[in-house]
Amino acid sequence: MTMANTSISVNARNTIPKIPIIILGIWLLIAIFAPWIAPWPQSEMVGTPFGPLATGDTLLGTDYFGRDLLSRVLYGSRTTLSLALSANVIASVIGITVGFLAAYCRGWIDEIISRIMDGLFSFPTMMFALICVSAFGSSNIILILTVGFIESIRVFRVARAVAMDNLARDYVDLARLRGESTAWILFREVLPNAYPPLLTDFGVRFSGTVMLLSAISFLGLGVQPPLADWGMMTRENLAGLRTGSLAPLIPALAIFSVTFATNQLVDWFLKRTQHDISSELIG
Amino acid sequence: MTILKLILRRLVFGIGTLIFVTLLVFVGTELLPGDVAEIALGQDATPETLEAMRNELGLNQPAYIRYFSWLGHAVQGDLGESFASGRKVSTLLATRLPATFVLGGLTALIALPLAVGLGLYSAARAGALPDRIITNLSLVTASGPEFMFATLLILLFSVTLGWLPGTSYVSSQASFVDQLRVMVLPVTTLVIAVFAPTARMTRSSVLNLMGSPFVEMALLKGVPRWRILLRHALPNAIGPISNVIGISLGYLVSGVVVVEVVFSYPGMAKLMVDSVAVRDLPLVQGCALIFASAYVGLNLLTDLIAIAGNPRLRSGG
Repeated sequence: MTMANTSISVNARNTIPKIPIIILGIWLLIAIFAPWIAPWPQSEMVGTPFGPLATGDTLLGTDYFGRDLLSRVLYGSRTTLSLALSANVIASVIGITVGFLAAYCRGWIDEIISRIMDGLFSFPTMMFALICVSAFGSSNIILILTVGFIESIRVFRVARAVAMDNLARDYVDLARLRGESTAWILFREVLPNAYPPLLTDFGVRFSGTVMLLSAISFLGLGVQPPLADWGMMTRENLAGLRTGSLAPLIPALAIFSVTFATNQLVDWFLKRTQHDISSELIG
Repeated sequence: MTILKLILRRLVFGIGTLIFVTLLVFVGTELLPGDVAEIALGQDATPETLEAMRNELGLNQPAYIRYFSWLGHAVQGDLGESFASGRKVSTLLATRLPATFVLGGLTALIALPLAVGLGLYSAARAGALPDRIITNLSLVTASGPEFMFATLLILLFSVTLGWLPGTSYVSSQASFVDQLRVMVLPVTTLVIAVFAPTARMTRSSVLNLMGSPFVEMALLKGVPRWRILLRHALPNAIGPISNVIGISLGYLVSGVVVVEVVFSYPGMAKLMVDSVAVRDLPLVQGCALIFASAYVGLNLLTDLIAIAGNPRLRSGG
């Protein structure tokens, strides 16, 4: 018996953890139906600035502009979640394409791409984001592209490793002998076989994407007012902290609920499948 | 590969990263609508003044010549002048750098030994109550954005209890104790942010080692657990742990940016965020260069420690 075997997994139940699923499901429904659920429009002044909790028609109080905080948190889920999802999809598209190409070409092409990616990988993500935003300005599109590109570096590593593994299999040789094109082999043969670890990686990255996007918006360099975004809402209500208003804390807690639920789910999934590449990457 | 060659390789790699950063910032400037002269002159721009300024700044020269001239000046410590204030970038950086250095340094001094220590402890007693607490706690702190912990801390210790200041404005004449009090909440926030990933990575890299044959051998010989950990596993873990610290420094840099903004801390990251907001590019370039150099330098250091901790590399064989 080795000591490693005595480690008890924290979340080793075989059944899917219900609470994270419920939390994420609720947020998804809220994001879709926000305009119908929210008691107030997201940018309408309904009271005095930093109104306290549960007064009148405002369950969570009001923000620095006297807008209903609950409505803005509900609307904010749309922005935050859709931006994170888009950035993550872009990351996957770039990362998988480049990763597969590197794995397929091998040799000096692979060497050059991998060295560049190594250099980018070690660089602090926030610095990277700041440089991109200062160069291209802040808009939702730039935000998605920037974060998508930063995260694609992580996808690249997984995609390349998985493709390397699959390209060495017999079915690829068979496809080559059949005379299939490179694109066919990579995207019709390798991709379907590689998708379980890539999908896991998509989930692993999701909470990181949410955190990075919110942090950029929190700095005032991401989503711009009057749109509601959880990171930006924390920032714009920061002044209320001095008077004890919970307005900055509530959107931050909303972010936490999403990232924590995602991490729990991913943790459970990784422990169940014990997939080598992904668990190695999240340490 | 000899040790010298290995160090040289890392050095080249680090310099490559720095050159890449400068290129990225430079390309960014090039892509901006209008050129630097138009941005700097703003409302005062007439065809004549624009032409004069372009000549003065050498903007009529090809991009690669301008890049190398900028790089040449940067190497000599001349980072140009800020668009917003017209002051020298190097002067502005010099006034802000010490504050960030103190913030990052204090955090690293507290968080890294704590995280590595507790990571080791929780690897040694894997599955025991402290390990489970540490693992679960790090799952929680890893999911929270830095600004959430910052707002929570301010709300609790500054607003509700009134023990500590929630912002970092402090006059230079303030007493040492007051200056220290200002640091408590920013440093605590950063420690929370850096602690979790570091402890978690330390734990998993040491646990990996604990499963290896030489540890099993020691266990079967009847060597006590603490001795296995300290005498057998730890020396071999120096490499992985210094890698972990390298990655943590990345978290630290990202965290510093958010924390300086939350607490209005007068450091370089706040300066950089402010200059990004107004697109004061020489200032952004300067900040990015300093952060990147610090990051590359520290990573080089952790690499050297990793090499020093590996007997196979140390002996040059």
